[in-house]
Amino acid sequence: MPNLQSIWRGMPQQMAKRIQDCITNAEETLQEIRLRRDKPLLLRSTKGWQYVQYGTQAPYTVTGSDIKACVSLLSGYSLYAFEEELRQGFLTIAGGHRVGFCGKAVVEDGRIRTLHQISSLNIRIAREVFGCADEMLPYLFSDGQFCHTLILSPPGCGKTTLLREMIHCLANAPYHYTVGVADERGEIAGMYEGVPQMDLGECSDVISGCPKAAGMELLLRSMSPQIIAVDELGREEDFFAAVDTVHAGVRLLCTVHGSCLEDVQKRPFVRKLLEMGAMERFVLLSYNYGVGNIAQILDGNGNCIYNGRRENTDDEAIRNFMHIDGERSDRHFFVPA
Amino acid sequence: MLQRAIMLLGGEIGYLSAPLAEALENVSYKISGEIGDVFQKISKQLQKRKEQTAEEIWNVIWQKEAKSMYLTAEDIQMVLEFGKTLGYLDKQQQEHSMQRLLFDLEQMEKRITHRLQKNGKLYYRMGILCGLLLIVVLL
Repeated sequence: MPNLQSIWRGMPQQMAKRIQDCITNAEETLQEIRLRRDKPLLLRSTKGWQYVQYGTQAPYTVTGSDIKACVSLLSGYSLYAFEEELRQGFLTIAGGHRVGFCGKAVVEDGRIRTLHQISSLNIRIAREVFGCADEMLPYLFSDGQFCHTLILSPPGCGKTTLLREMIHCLANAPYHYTVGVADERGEIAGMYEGVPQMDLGECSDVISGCPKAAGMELLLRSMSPQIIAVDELGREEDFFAAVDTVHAGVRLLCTVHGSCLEDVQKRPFVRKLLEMGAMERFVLLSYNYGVGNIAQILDGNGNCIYNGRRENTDDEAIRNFMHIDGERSDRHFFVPA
Repeated sequence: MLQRAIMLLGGEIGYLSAPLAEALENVSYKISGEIGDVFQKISKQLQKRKEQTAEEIWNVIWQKEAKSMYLTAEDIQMVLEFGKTLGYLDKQQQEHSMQRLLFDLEQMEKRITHRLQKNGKLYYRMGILCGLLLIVVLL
């Protein structure tokens, strides 16, 4: 269960007490805390959204002083030390929880330099779900070796949580792979003061805060990884780095963000990666199967080797996804160029 | 000593982006005497992360400790003004704030040095004359 002490210490005591009074079992159920200036304080839990209020009293309204105090406490009175994080709109606190900021952006040379007059905070509780990859991991091996794996998922389906747990399992016994993690935004490891807040296993090395492509290159050069794990491949250089990883003989574990299979197929770099025959396993997540549940696992030829628990699988979409050149063939996938 | 402490603090913040509590603690190890002690106390209080703002912690500790220091009311006021800028500014503004304090301290030092030069010779000569007067009286 997540440790929420860093969150309670990052807000005025009165506010922290009110939240803890209003939500039972916060460690198990609390997902988000939303602070917006002059608006009611909102909590999101497994049951949905709720106000912070006692009985029939008016909901607690966040003031400007509350926001300022939270920003000050969450940053350890050192907002200047988090300029890079502010530029990206969030910072990670102890425990791996992420605090998103919104306010007035200071723009320099077309780039956001920092944020001022912060008016909203979004505190997202980081959770590890141990065991969520146990059932699917054996399907990702072939001849005793981990296969190049691509996780395809729409937003909010637990892709990063699944990736994290896979890294944790692969870097621990019995697999004990040396896993290099290129964690650009600190979402996988939850780095805080250079220490991963999430358990990524005994044999994992994390590089965070730098572009994925540069991180993957550095891992290849200096950490002798057996597997490189990276979240949300998107840019051209990310895919070139992924190709380099495969060519270097290192196993690749990556994710791609896609709202549906058809969208992912249209993305040029995913297409190129597939056309190369680089990926050997595809793990598909879908809203229809619920958060964290796997819809299907496909092999490199597009054959389904694992079906999720729901019966109404999206077979047509999966077949369409596998058509690279628009022609049906017995081999659904990876038509050589 | 205070000037040196602020310069070191500027280095910790500007080059290392060290969090405020850590920056103050690091400076306290490099500065001996009362200024180092004050920085150490402020650092410890900041690490507790109680509900006070960084400005409040800075003010309370400085006002308490300044009574036993050879600082004038003007010096203390300058230090307290600096406290208002702690922790919520971006790096550039934080550095500007420190440079402003250093400039004020430098100006203060120049005024004191000028006053010393102006009045020093006077007090020195008066001292010699008083001594001579005493000799004459005793004779």
